[in-house]
Amino acid sequence: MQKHIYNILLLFLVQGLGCNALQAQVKVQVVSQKISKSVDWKQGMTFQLVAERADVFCTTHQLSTIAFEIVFIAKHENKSVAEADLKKMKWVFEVINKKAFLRNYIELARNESKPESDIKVVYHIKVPENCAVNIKNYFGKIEIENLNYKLNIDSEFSIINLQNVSGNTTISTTFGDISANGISGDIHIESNRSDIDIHNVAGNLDLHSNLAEIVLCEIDNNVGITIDAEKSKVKIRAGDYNRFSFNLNLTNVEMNKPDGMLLDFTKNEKESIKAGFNTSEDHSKIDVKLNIGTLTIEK
Amino acid sequence: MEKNRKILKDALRNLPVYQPEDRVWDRIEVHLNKSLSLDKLGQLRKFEPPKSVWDNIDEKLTRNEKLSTLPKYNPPEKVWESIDRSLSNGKDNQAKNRIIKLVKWTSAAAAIFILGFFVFTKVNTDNRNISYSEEWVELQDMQQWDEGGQMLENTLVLICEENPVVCKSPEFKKMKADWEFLNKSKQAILMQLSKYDTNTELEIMLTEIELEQTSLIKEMIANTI
Repeated sequence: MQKHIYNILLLFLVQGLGCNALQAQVKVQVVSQKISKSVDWKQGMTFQLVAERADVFCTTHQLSTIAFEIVFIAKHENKSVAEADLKKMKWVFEVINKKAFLRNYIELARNESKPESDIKVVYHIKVPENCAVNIKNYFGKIEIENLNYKLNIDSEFSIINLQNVSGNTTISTTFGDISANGISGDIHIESNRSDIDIHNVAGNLDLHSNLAEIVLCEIDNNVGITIDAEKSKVKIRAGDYNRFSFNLNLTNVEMNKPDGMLLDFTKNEKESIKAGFNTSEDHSKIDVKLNIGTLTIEK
Repeated sequence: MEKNRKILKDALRNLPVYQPEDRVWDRIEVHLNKSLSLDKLGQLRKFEPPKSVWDNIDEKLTRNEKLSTLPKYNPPEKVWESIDRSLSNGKDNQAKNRIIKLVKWTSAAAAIFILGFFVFTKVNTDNRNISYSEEWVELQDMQQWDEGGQMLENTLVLICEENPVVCKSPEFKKMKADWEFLNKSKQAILMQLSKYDTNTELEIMLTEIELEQTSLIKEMIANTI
């Protein structure tokens, strides 16, 4: 008898949980549209993308073409609303002189309301190896792989991920963390309220940051690193730090370094530190200028 | 009237007739030649025609020469008979011509229609490759982010009411500007939050913003004490 009562109670409990789960969920209509295009690329032609709410994936291929695929996605509980909102999502592609220009935008007709659906755009782009790429994005994600010529990113609220990128790279980001693995060449980054995490770095890295957590690891012997940061936490995993020549200019900074790393102080005050390490040697340079924050140098 | 006319005709008939001597005609000819003498011609203005004129003349001459060298044939009798027959059947030909014209125009219209179809399809690529699917998703709680923000905003107003002098200091203004920038960014992020998808990255940004705003507010409060 007791077992029966227990089973009935268990059944009610499971039913209750099931009902709760169903109440929290809704059925969403997903309407999406895919567009593909490819154009011939000529030497010197650059690719420029101006995107909004987009996940951008860009890489190179062996062909002399710029090829891209755009997927527009609209999600809403009501299918007709999702369909109508999808139609408001427009794109334009044109080649003017030596610029291949691609952008997406929302177009509203007279008396038409803003999209109610959740909307998203996904780009998959392939360019030739010697094609300069210029990407602008507002919200979303930017993933770049194997670009070795010229890259320029200007983004807000966009997460940036770089894999095997070299050549000339310029990034300007606000509220968009950067993570990179395998970057070299000349890299210039301006960041505001964005964290930066770089692994396997070579070449010249010029970093200007405000409110950031910066981590640099697996640093190549041939580097020139300049960090100019405000209100930031900087961590340099240098490995064998004797390979480098450090120049530190710190104000209101808590510094942590390996015990064996003996600095030459030109100024060592409570609020301000100016120090060098291996400065007389002909080593790759790491210069850190930091105002408020922490600096950690690790092996 | 009739009488006068006859008299006039008779009078004209009876008029004497003179034939000029040959030398008169010779002198007239000499005078004409003089007026067109070489000296006068030499005084006329000279024009050099453009090269293309000479080329045209040359081409025409060459073509004429070539044409003249072409062999000539006389068509056999039956050809002429056939032409004769076809001329006599003019009405039939007109009908045929009409049919040919009709076919031509129909072909042109069809070509325009086909071309138009492709152009139309190109313009409306927006309607191609559309796919539909359904998902069961959990609705995201969007309200939670508004509450904290409102509270921080009220705190800021309260601070300035309590100590208006501090609110006017450059340091406080700088912090307030930072706070407002953060608030603007927060509003921009809130606009992008999805009801149907997880917003992990955006929610991390919002958390960081709120932490920084809180830290700023604390600093502002510390300044007022």
